[in-house]
Amino acid sequence: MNNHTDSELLVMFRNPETKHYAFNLLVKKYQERLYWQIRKIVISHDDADDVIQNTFLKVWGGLENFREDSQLFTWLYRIATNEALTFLKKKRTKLLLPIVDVEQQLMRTMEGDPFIDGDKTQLKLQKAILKLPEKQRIVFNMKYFEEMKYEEISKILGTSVGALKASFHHAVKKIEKFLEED
Amino acid sequence: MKSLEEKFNKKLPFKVPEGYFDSLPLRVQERIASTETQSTPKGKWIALRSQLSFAAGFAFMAMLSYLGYYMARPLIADKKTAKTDYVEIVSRTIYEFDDIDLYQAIEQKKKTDSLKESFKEMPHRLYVRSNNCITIIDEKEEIKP
Repeated sequence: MNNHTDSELLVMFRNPETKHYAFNLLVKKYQERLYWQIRKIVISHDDADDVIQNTFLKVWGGLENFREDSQLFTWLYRIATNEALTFLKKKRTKLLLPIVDVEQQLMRTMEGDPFIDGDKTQLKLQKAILKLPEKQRIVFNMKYFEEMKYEEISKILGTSVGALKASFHHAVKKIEKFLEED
Repeated sequence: MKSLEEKFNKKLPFKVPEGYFDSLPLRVQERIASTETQSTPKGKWIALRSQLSFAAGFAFMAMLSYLGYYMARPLIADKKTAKTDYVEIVSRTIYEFDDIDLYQAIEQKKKTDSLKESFKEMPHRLYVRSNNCITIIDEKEEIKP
């Protein structure tokens, strides 16, 4: 089991002899949490797989210059979220799709992806979440599913705690409304 | 919020292929290895080779165009600086002009000129002018002041 602290991993990473080993440990330590964060944004497993690999490539390139004045996990989470959002943006540009069509495409993925299973209520909630604006969707996912503190989310997304609280409040109201209408 | 939690659990309806998280670290390491190969001098050379061959092709085409232009330029310059040869232009443009037409035109000119001369000589005569012919009818007396 990977019991190394972030500081230990960083020390090992800075040593050329243990660099690859340390990075391997880091991937093993954070892969699942980052994967699920990405997956909630891009929905499809194949897309999430692409995005998480790109995320770790970015981490590999930037870890040398990582300053320990912020938490490693916060930094990793920020890279993963940005990579997922950039992926959706690229998809939109590539297919010349407006935002609404991307949401509909994600909705179709929710119905057709072989790596989606869950009961009707879970799918219903996910579809309601997909109707939210991108930023609200991310905030809702981090707060509702990950049960993260607003302060943590604030560091990751670079948004004030007050704005995050308002965003989450609006998201919950909208989801409740979507579910009532459905 | 509470009503959401009461109605829905917090389980996500997503799953991953079997053994996905066991193989992911290895695949990430492979991706890193491939990018590092590209960033080594040899890898950079391989990546640069295609760009260089494209650049060489482009330079060759540019050189051909340059040479073609400068080899053709003297001809263009000659054309521009050559004096206008009107004799040649006339001979080229009026090739339908017949000699007979020329003679007729000269004759016509002569007749016109002779008539004009005749008018000058007889300011005090009354005359009738018809086709190239003048008939003197009377002579006017000179009016003296």
